[in-house]
Order: sequence, then structure tokens, then C-alpha cells
Amino acid sequence: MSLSQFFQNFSIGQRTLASVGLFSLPLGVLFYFNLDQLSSNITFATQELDGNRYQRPLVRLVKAVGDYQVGVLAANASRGGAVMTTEQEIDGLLGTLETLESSIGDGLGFGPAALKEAQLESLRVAMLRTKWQALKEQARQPGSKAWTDAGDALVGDLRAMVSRAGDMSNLTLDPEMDSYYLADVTSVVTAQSLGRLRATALFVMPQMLAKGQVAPADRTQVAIFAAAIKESDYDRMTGDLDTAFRENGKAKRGASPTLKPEVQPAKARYEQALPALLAQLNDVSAGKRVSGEQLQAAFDQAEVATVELAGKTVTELDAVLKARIDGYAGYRWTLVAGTLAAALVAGLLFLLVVRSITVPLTTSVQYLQHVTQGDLSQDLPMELQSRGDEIGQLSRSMQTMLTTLRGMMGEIGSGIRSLTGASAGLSAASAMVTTGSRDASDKAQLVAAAAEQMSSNVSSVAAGMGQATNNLGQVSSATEQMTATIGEIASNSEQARTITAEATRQAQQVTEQIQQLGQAAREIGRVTEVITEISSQTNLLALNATIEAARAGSAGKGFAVVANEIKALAQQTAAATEDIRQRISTVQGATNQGITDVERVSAVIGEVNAIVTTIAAAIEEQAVVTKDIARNIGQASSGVKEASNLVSESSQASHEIARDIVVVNRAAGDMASSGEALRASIADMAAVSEQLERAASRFHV
Amino acid sequence: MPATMPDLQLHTLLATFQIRDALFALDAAGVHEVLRLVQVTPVPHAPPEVMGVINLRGKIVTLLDTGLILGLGATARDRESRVFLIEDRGEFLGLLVDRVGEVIEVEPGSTEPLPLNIPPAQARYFTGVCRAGGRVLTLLNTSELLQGSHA
Repeated sequence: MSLSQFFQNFSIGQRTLASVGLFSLPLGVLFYFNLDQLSSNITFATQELDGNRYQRPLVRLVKAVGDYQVGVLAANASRGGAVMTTEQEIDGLLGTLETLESSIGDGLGFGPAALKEAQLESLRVAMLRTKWQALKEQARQPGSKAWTDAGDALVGDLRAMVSRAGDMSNLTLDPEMDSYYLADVTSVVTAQSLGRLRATALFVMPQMLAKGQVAPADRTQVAIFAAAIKESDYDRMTGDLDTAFRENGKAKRGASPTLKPEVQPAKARYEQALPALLAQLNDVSAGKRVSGEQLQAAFDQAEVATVELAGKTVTELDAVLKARIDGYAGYRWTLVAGTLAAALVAGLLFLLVVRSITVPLTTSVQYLQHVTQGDLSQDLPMELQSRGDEIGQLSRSMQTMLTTLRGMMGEIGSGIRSLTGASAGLSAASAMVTTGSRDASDKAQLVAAAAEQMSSNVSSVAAGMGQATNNLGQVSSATEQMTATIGEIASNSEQARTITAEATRQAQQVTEQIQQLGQAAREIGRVTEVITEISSQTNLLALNATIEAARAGSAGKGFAVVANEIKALAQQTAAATEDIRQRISTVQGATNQGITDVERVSAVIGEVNAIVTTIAAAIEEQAVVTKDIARNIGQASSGVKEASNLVSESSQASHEIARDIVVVNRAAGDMASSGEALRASIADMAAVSEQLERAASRFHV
Repeated sequence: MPATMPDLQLHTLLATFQIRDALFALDAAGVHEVLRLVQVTPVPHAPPEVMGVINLRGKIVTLLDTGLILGLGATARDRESRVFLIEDRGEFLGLLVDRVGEVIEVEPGSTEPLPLNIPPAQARYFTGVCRAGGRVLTLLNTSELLQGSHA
């Protein structure tokens, strides 16, 4: 897939958004780096401010230690001095320094770990205190080597701390010229100058206080001190400040308008105090007599002027740095706000551009969807057509296409309508033809069937006629035979009636006799019962006789035999009687059966009698009817002959009709099938025109 | 029982009868008469085996249901029913039976004691069993029977 094909899968809006994103990417990167640079600049300057805070008490300590030692020397020479005040000041400054060490010391490299790593653990404030204690303890022998060394060690550490604070807080790295030179004053020159003034004072003052002049061997050293102060400190100090005044305002950000007005007076006092001291030192080195007090005062003034100038300078350095930080912060805010505003405006423009393309395209698509659904009646909106861009061209072309289509669809529609009308008319006409021919065909078939039926009927009538004529002859002779037979039957049935009547009478007689027999048997039954009873009593009597005989013992033995005989007789009688009773019972059963049978016979005879009577009457009637039939058959025979002739004629006529009807039927059938074919063609046409109409109706012209 | 024993030493006449299917016999010498069952007059509050009284030629006879006494159920009353008339201490009693058989003569010594498995309550009414004509008859102890009815 080529790249252009790949892009076609996304909407115009998405593609435009992608291009905007691509273009904004480098801008965003630049913005980020710019912002990061600004933030690091601010951090840089803030660190410098911390350095200043740390240096301030250090510088004052350098001066205070010098003051203290000179004060101690003066006190030793019974010339008084504010030793106690200076001690308190040094203790207070050490306290301030301790607070600073714990709050910002880590950021400036004064944390315990950082100092240990740099092998500078002597720069911890606690160590300073120790050294300060050592110095105070050596105060019993002021001017001794140990006392001077202790002071030197303390001042050396303090200067090293000033220097480290300057290095670690970027003060010595500051790229801007004005602040660089101001920092040179505060971080390097001031401490160096104060240290040198202290060293010079400690070298010169003991001799001056003691003898009012310096030994010739030390005069060269004094000259060297003076030259060093002049070259290394005074010239550098004033040179730095002049450069700073000059450069202030040239920096891009953070010029301090108060720099020169504030610092200039202090600088003027410094430019008076330092040359005055140098003049006295030159006098000392030249061996001239110089008042010790005056020299002391010159030292004091030089130190005070130096510290004052340094104080002013550091204050102004702070002001410059703060102004710079403010400048950077303001610039940062402007950058962020400006970038955001630009992004917002760009976004709005992006939306407007995209919409100016997609909205008219969407409108066109919606409109074309109307056209797809067949609605050609709406024109493209004028605001689309009147556009001057590519979309306007597209819209105008679409409108032209639409107008052309509309005309074409109108013409097609009216053509289809007339076609539909014509096909409907044709269809109706052909339907009528088909119906008519079908009716004709149906009717012809009906007539044909009827004629066929008639023809066959006539044929069977003719055949039947011939048959009838023959049959009539046979019937005639059969009828005569029948008449004779009926006469015989009549006489026989009369005889049968007489016989059955006799049988009925005899059956009644038999019934009566059997009933008498039954009565007799019942009487015999009663007699046997009496006999049974008698034999039972006889039996009991015999039993009692036997018992009586038994009671009589052997005397009754003969009687017992008789009794037994009687008993046997009674038992025989009972058995015989039972036999009779059973027989009588059989007779009675047979008698009853006989009565039933005879009654059934009587009923049958009665039925036979009735049937015979009916037959006799029917035969009489039949005889009369048979005679009538014989006469009528004769008449029918002649009629049949006549009818037969007529039937033959009509048979011929119906055959002719049937033939004609077949011809008619075939013609009607042909017509119907032609009509059917015609109708099918018209139906096809109608279907096509309907299809066309449906298609055309989708278009709303 | 000892009263009848001497008679049994000679040849004895036994009057046989039937209750249900059981065959019994009693000493014919103790029987006055055999009667047909006639009209019975019931006696109020009499025990169930006393059927009532009958009038026999001016004599009052108490009629007993032998079947009930022997534990065979009430005796049937039909045309075959007969009553043995027996005198006991001047009083006449009738024993109703289902049917009477013959009076038979038995040899002395043909009687045997009762089988031992008959309960004593029933056994007291019998004196023993007797074989006659291939059949076994149970001999009724008339005096015990009458005593039972008095009790």
C-alpha cells in the first residue's frame, strides 16, 4: 500500500490534525529547552544570593578578628581598646554562621559530607570556634609567634570559606559582566584586602606602638605591603567597581539603577581612606617618623571603608541578582502564556480550516444521498455553488449533472406511463377475447356431449325396441300358461286350509290329555309323601321298640328281633316310596315338556293356516290380473313396432349434429389458445412497463 | 361311669346318633324313648344350652342342645332332628341330636379310653371310644352331661 493510499483511510480532519501535530513538534521541543534554560538561570542566580548571605558574616569576621588582634596589641601597650566588644561580635558572628551552615550550608558545599570529601573539614563552623578559642588562649602573650599563627590560621580558614562560598554559589562563574565584577569585589578582593590590612597592621603596629618607627630591616617589607595593598587590593577594587558601573545596564536582564548611586559614596570614602593609609605606610618605609596613633587610625579608617564598601557592594549585588531573577521569571511567564495563546489561536484556525472543507463536503454528500434515493427535485444550495474554491467547482458540476438527469427522467417517466396505459387496454381486450372463446368452447362441448348422449340413447332405444317386440311374444304365451297354473294353486290351497284346521283341533285335544296326566302325577306325589311319613314313624317306632327291648334286657331279646324286622320293612317302604317319588317327578317334568311342545305345534299350525288363507286370496287376484296383462300385451306389441321406425330416423339426425359440433368446438379451441398466447404477451409487456414505472417512480423529478 | 361299667361286662346295646358329622353313642338302656322334635316352650333366663321345655303326654321334659354342650355349635332343627328322652333323679331331660342311627350291639372290651390330647374340659363328657362296623363312635357320659346341665 502506498503512502497516499494509507492516508486515504483517514478523514480530512484527522490528516490535517496530524500535519499540525508534526509541525508543532519541533516548536514544542524548542519551547521546552527554552523553559528549562530559564529555570536553570533562575536557580543559578538564587544560588548566588545564598553565596552572598554566607559570605557576609565571613567578611565581617575577617575584619573583626583583625580588629580583635590589633585591639589586644593596643591593650597590651596600655592604650585601651574595645577588646570585649570585639569578642562578643566574633561570638555573635560565629552564631550567625552556624545558623547559616545548618540552613543553606549543604547547597553551598558546607555540609559535613561535602567538606569531608573535599578534605576541608577545618572549614566547619565548629572548627572555627575551636580556633577562635585557641586564639583567645594565646592572648596572654600577644605579639608572640604562636598568637600570630593562631590568628593567621583563623583568618586563613575564613578566607578559604569566603572563596569556597564564592565558587560553590556560582558567584565566580557569573556570565554577566556587572555581577561578575561585583562578585569579584565581595568574594575575592574584600577578604584579601582585609587580610592584607590585618597582616600589615600586625607587622607594623607592635614596633610603631613601641618605638614610634620601624626597624630599618623591616622597612622594605612595609614598602612591599604597601605596594601589594595598592596593586592587588586598591586598584583591583576600584577597577572592578568601575567596570561594574560601566557594564550595569548592558546586561540583557536585571540592571540595577541604584547600583552607582548607592555604591559611589562608599567608594569615594574608600578612595580617600586607602590612599591616606598608603601615604603613611610609605612614610614609615621611608623611615620618617609617623605617629603610632595616626597610623592606627588610618588602618581603622581603611578597614571601615573597605567593609562599608564591601557591604554596599554586596547589597547591590543582591539587588542586581534579584532584578535578574525577576527578569527571568517574567520572561518565563511571558513565554508560557505566549506559547499557550499561540497554540489556542492555531487550534481555532485549524478548526476553521477543517470545517471550511468538511462542512460543505458533508452537505454535498447528504444532497447526493437524496439523489441516490431518487429525489432529483432539489437544487444544490447556492452558497455551495457560488464558492470560489474546488468545492464550488464540484458543486456546479453536480448541479449541471442533476439538471440533465432531471430532464431525462421526466421524458422516461411520461414514456413509461403511456406504455403502461396501452398495455392495460390491450390486456383487457385480450381477456375479453379469451373469455369469449372459452365460453364458446365450453358451450360447444356441452352441445357435443348432449348430442353424443342423445345419439347413444337413440341407439339403445332402437335396440330395446327390437328386443321388446320379441319379448312381448314370449310374455303372451307365458301369461296363458300362468293362468292355468294359478287355477291349480287355488284349489290346492283350499285343501291345505282344511287340513290345518283339523290339526289345530287335534293339538288342543292332546294338550288337555297331557294336563290331566300331570294332575294325576301330582296326586300320586301327595300319596308318596304320606307313605314316607308313615314309614318314618314306623322306623322311629321300631327304634323305640329296640330301645325298650334293650331296657328289658335278655327278656326283650325276641321283641328286639321283631322290632328290627319292622324297622327293615319301614326302611324298604321308605326306599320304594323314594323311588316312586322320583319317577313321578320325572313324569311331571315330561308332562310339562309335552304341554309346551304341543302348544308350540298348535302355534305353528295356526301360522300355516293363516298363510294358506292369504295365498288363496292372492291367487284369486293374480288370476284376474294375468288376464288383463295378456290383453294389454297384444296392444303394446303393435305400438312398439311403430316407435321402432321413428327411432331409427332420429338416430341418423343426431349423428349429423354431433359431427357439426366437433367442427365448431375445434374452431373455438383454436381461438381460445390464440387469445391465451396474446394475453401472455400482453402480461409480459405489462410487467415490463410496471417495472419501468416502479424504477422511474423512484426518481422524484 | 362306674355305674355303666358292669353292664359293659356283658354285651351292650348302644344307641348311635350324629351331631354334625361326628358319630356318638350312648347306652341304650339309659334311654326311655326317642322322640320327634315337637313344639318347644322357651324358658326365660335359662342358659343357652337349655332350649326350653316340652310337654310329653303330660310329662314336662327339659330340652338340652347337645351340640352346644359338646362345643359343636347349636344343633340343627329339621325333619331329621330327634330327642333322646332320659330320666335323671325323677326328672325328664331331652337331648336334641341331628339324627339317630341304629341301636347296635357291641362286644365287651371293644371300648377304648379317650385319646390323651383331648382337653379335660371336654373329656369329662365322654367315657371312651368304640369301634363298630369300621367306624369309631365316641361314648357319651350321660350322667356327667346331665350334671353339667344342672350346673
